[in-house]
Amino acid sequence: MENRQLRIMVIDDEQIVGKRLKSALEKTGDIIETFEDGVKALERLNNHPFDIVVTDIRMDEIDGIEILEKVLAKSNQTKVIMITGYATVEMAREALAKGAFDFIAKPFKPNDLRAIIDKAAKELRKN
Amino acid sequence: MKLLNNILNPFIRKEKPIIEARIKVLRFRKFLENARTLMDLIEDGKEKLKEEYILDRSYISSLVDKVIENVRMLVFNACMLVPEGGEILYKEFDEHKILAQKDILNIISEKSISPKDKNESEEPEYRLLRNAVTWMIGPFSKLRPTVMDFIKQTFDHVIFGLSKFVYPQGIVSQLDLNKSGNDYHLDIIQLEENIILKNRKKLAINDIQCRPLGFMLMDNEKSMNIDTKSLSNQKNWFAAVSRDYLSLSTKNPQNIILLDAQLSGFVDSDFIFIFANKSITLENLLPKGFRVEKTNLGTMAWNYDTPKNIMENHLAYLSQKILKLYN
Amino acid sequence: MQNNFYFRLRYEASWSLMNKNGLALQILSDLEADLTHLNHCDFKIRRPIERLFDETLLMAKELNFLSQNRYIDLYDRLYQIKEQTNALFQCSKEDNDQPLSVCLDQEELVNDRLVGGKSSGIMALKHHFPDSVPNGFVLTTASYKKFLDENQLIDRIRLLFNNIDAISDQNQFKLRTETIRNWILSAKIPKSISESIKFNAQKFKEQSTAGWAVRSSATSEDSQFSFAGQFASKLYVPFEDLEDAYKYVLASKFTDRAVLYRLHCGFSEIDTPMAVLFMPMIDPAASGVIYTADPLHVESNQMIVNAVQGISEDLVQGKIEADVFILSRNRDPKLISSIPSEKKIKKDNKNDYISEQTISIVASLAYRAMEVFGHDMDIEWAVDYNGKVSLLQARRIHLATQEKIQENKGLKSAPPIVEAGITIFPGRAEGNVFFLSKEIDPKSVPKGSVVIVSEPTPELAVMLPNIAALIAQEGNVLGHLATLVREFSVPCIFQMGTQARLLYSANVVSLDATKRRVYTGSRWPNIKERVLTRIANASKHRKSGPLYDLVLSLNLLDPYSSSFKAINCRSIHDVVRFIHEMSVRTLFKIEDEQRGRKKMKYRLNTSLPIKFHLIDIDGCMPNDKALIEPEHIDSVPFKAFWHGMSNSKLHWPNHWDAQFAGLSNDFKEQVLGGTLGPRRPKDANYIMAGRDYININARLTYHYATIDAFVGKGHENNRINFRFRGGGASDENRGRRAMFLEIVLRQAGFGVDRRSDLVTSWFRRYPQKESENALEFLGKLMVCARQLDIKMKNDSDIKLYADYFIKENYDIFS
Repeated sequence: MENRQLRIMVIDDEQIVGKRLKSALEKTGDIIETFEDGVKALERLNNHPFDIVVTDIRMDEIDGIEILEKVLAKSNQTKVIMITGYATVEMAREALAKGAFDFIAKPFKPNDLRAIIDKAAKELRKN
Repeated sequence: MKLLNNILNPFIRKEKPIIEARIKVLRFRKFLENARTLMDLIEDGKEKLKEEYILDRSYISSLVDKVIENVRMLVFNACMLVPEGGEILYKEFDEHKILAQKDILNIISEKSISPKDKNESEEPEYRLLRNAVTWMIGPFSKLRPTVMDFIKQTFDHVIFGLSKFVYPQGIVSQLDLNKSGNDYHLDIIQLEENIILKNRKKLAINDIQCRPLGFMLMDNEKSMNIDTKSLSNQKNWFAAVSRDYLSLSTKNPQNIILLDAQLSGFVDSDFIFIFANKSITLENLLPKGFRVEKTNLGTMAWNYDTPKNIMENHLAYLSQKILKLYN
Repeated sequence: MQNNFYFRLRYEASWSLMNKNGLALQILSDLEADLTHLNHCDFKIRRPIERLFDETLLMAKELNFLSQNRYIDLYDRLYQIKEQTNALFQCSKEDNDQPLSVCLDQEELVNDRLVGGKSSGIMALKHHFPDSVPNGFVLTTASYKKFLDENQLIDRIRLLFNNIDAISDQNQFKLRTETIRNWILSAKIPKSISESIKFNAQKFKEQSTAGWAVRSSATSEDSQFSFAGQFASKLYVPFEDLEDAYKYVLASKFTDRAVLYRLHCGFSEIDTPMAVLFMPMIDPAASGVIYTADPLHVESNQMIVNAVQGISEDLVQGKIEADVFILSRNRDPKLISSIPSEKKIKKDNKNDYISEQTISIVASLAYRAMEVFGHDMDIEWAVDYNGKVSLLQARRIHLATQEKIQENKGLKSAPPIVEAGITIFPGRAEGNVFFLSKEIDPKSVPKGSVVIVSEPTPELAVMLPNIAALIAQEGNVLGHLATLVREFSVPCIFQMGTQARLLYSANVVSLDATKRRVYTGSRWPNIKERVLTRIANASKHRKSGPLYDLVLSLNLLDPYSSSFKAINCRSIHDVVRFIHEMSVRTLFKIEDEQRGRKKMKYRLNTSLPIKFHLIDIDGCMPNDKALIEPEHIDSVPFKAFWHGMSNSKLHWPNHWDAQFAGLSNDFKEQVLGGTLGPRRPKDANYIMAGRDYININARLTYHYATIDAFVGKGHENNRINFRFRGGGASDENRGRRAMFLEIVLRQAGFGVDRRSDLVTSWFRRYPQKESENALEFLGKLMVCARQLDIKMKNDSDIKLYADYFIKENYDIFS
């Protein structure tokens, strides 16, 4: 269990986020899948387990809070990290209260997210 | 104030001169705060462009909105300080705003932006951010002023206008001293009560409870005897003082030097700002760590986010270099 | 051109002033929370006050710019307040360099806020009984702040706590508190604190062979508010686990129970810092609590000793029962009787762990402590195996007058009739329902009522000391009345919305402001008594203190009273409120100043029978033509307003003033008050417009209507102010029209204040779309209302016309 590959899903309806995160996070050898469409992401989650889900908090079709709820309902082992943007701290609070592991505010550097993912991975190993 | 006086009825009451002077100093401080916020915003935009960041369009639009809002405050404070010629500032402000709307904000609100052509490697977000940064600091292909140029222009407007402002003699206290062979005369007003401890026209250094001024005059000889001073070489200054704040300026519109400093011990609000007009090479007089910008009128320099003791040293150093420059 | 710049600058000044007003209210609201638990000298108090002063001074200048220096008295008032405030800050300057730790035997006096109530009690005890109180040390509230600060927890906790009192979902509440506890437990202890623990603990190495007792010592704990037993302790902690124990105790500040208790008492969270007490563990043969007076029979002149074998932790927690010893209450106490615990009675155990002599020693120490401190106390004590007595904790006894809560269980299952709104001040209350409409003087509200209002305005403050609870359909959480509600500790719910109407039918209601629920009938009978007691004590309970009075208290309540003057401002809050009120009034008067200036160059080109002069504020209109098409005006609020006014379903007369064309000048003079009247007939209509602003001044058949609106992206700065006054008809009819306006404006979500024929109305902090709709609505309303003062003949017409207007049936207005 020590340093096995993490399965990480990234959901953000802005193309640039998934694109940039995928290339940045793959460097450490983890498995990254990115989605722009929350509905499709949830479908994928239904038949495939992920260790960590990184999701934007505000999206048009289905928002990050809903994704958080669905992910945790399915498996409370999964760590959900919220990406918040300008003026969404309110929602970040709600997300933390609903069991999100942590949140990160845009704009951020991929390494900042990496640090949070490492923390989440440590938690995962504890369980 | 001609414009305002034309409009204001001559029978209208007027605030006391000391209040007018205090509010001017306070508003200038707010003006400097606006400028500092703007520089931080601009730096932030530049930084996000330089390094690999995950950002989205709302970051860009909020950045541009914040810049517009702060420039608006800057211009408003500028016009309240120096109303004459303010309409030109507003006209140009409106142009900058419209430009941002057209080149950046409108494009962002059209939700589906795609790269200009498939071969372009840069994501559309970064193209927009680049537009925003260009709008702020250039370079423009055409000869057109940037937001930064406009900020500097606004500074010139204010600093030149304020240099003509004279504290009425009725409200000032006086301090005469000799420092490193030079004689100085300061006209001093207090920004709140009980800063000047002794109620007398001729003060001693210790009568003034102003931390920044204290550091500037620290290594100083005693107040000199008025009878022995040589009037011809005397350097004249205005100083507005409170416990943490100093606003120091020359008394001559031809030779502008202006120094505002806050020294409260809280890093996030403390700063030193200096302006000197063109005849002085300000860069050569500054300690390390100052941010320097050239304007048409002269040079301005800032220092902030600096620990208290270093700022104190800066002030002591600056006093050696600057106090003696002009009559 | 000069004129345009002048108008632009006025517009910018009002924009700036409103921005500052919002900021000032925010600072005031934060300060209110912080002042309860921070020292005056703390920079978290001093800096916001300095900032507040600066903003307010500039606001005053901007108001004077707008009003041509009508309010220059404000400056002197402000500087006087500042001087008085500064004098209060002269206290101790070293306050910002508070020590991270303090030894219990330290001789210098320490502040309760630094070491917490419990430690402060022990330090006092140690001072008087040095041999009977074990030594130890306290990690002060300065450590607590540093701990939160270095772990970036302050803002995070604030974030989670922001509206926690408004959460109805229990799970969500639990999740939030748990999240905070986890943050604390997983945080890193700053090096300086860690070193401080090691350094101090080493000093007591010999005394701590049994490990350490680590306990909370919160601010206000053991003081007038009893936080007793809410926080955790750790016992027998070995040296190497002290840091974890410290975090464990800190985290216990955020148990559900502790959080709820503080919410109920109206404490702000993050600013009730916690100190932690470290004492070497005494491994006791016996321990317990002594009361220097019998809390249940104060008059009996007896002392009560509770004792258990071993440690008393479970006793204090109420988990086990103690043996009780009753002693005479004097310097040389004698055992009068003893009551063994029930368990012992059953097992027929004899009391063999503590001697009568030891009990007397405990009691005589306690009696001396009572004498020294001058009031009755309860003191935790322990005796080691050598018979040495130690006092471990002491606090004043609050000798309660029988105040046991008896819940009326039978009613508990009934569901609430309303569950909505935002908690402004928590707590429960019950009383008779009283609907307070604008016509009723708030002073006449019967004592102990549950009052329901539509808009919570500061004028209502006069009744706050007398009422059981307040419910408002609308209301701004940061508004003035909210501040006052908290000041008077009135259970209160804002923004209940239309659901409040469900309460019309109820006679008596019970309200739980914490959970934002209202039930019919009397639900908690003992609550009513408590409410009445609170009302009786209202004057004593007021938050006060010199700094509070100078900064936060709001004394200017009624903007229409003769005392609403600059010189009567007693606090910065008063000044802010005064400036805001006067700036709004001034904005409505802009037209007076433009009279007598050069003719305005631009006019609106429209086929509608109304003429508008235009003033361009920021280049939103083309400047090459004198006649400007409405669609060429690039202004969000103008477009919305014009969209309403030019609605094709509206009916216009051939000419705006046609109906009054035949009136004699005498009539006009008489009815309109001539040149002193609200508007002179010859005054022009004008619109001052910018991209996100309009100021409209329209004369519509001898009344005048003004709109001042800012509408842009976001919603924080959006505002629409509307005023309407006058008319050519009788007072009675003008009054009817005003009532009509009030009804339809309220229906559309506006706040309304109506005084005879003057209607003042506002719509603030809504998003762009809603604000645009509201302006469109005003456009239509101005056309339709223009001659209602002639049309409406009796009171029943008011509702009739209002219904037609709301249903967008405009034919009746032709």
